[in-house]
Amino acid sequence: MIRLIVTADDKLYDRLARRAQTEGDTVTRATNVLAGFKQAMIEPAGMILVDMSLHAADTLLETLHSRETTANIPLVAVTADGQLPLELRLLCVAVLEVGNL
Amino acid sequence: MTSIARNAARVLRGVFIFRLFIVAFGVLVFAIRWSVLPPPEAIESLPRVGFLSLLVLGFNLASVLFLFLPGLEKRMGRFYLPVALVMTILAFSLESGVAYLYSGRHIVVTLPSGSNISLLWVSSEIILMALVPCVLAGAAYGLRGGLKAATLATLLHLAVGFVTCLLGAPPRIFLALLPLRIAVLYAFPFMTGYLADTWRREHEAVREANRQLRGYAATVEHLTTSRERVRLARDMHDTLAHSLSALVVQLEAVDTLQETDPTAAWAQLDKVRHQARVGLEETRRAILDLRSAPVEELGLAGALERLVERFCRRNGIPADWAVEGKSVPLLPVQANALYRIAEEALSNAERHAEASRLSVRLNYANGVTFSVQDDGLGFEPAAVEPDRYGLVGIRERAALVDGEVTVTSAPDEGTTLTVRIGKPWED
Repeated sequence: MIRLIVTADDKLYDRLARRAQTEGDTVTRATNVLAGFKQAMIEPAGMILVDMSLHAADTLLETLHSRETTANIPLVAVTADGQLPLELRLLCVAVLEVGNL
Repeated sequence: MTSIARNAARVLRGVFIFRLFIVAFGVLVFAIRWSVLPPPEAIESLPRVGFLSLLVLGFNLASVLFLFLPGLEKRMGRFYLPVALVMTILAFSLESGVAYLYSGRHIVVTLPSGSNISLLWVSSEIILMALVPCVLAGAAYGLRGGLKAATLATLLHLAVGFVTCLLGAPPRIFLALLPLRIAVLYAFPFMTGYLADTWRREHEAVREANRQLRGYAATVEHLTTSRERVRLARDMHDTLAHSLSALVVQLEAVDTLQETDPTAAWAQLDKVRHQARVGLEETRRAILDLRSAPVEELGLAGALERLVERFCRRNGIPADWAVEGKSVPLLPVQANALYRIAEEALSNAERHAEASRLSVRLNYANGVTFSVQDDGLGFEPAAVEPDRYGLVGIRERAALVDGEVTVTSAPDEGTTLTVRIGKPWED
């Protein structure tokens, strides 16, 4: 399974990628929301992890959820402080706090 | 156990396809033999095989039928696949035995039309076809299953070879390359079984990770709900409770003053009235802040209007607000994106523009266009870093919903930010 990680934070990416690789997944990366969206449309992933500290990460989650190609891909929001609004939490299969990873 | 069952179901399809291949292969060989069969007058001179080979042929056909009979798989349940694999291994072992006994001979059958057909045993090496069910066993049941199937195939092969030698077959045909055949019979099921076990372990690890993810999600949900309760309690304490306490204290003061100084009591009552209004306003604002989806509640135009009102109240800067054209329905994702861009644009104006007036427009001609214009300091767009004023974020957000951003500005001439969604998405 391909796991797409959308983050500009190298340390966070390393932690998420290491975990994904331990679980036998292939990892791809995008460093901003637009690149993440394009990558998800070109090569649909099995799971998309979005760093919520990125610009417009909330719109990326909503857009991925609203497009037919990506609507059924599980989304995981990665947050620093867990303060994700309810409507975005509903779009995600999981919300991970960076401290818990 | 579930993953083994799922694997077995896939392998069943593999067995089926494999048997189809064998049948097609047999038909091809038959067709080739048919085309090269000697003329009828020469057929009598061909060597014939005995009754035993017809029995083996019958068993082989039965093993094919076993795989094709409808409903059998459902009736036999989890025993179906092992039986199918064992039958297939057995069929190939017996076929190889017949090939050792009657190497190069034919089964000649005369049809009612008078034509003769010959069924040729392809090769004594047909035992290697038993590799396929062994490999499938490895895929379905892992390393142990693959090795068990390989052992069964080897033992049957040895037994068949031993019996055929006793019946008079030359041992050299059987013994030639025997170690190689056994090595091949073990090697491939070993590899497939090992890979299947590895895959199964990884699959279990992913399932475990998913279970953990669900656990995290539930924990975070719980934590967030708790935080929301704490925030609500704090807001109520800071607004409603504080205002009510102040009112009680001031009303007690009125109570004391009305006996001694009625004029001061009236003045105090005015203060109480003012305090009550402030408290009411703060409570309303707190309730407003608790709402998490303004666009969903008020629609895009309503939410933007409220945003502009709050901006004016907070900063004391007057703003014109207008909606132009007939409203076009937008998907929530586009409407939310526009709302958030508006928040960021107004926040930019508040922090950087030093404007004395704002004009905010929502225009529904040719798609949807939202613009914020201020008369503030302005800037030279080419001279500022791309990420200054959060413009990168605004552009990315707009691009995600097929929107375009235009920024027009010049020093001391204010700034206009326009976002246009040319084609609203359809539901």
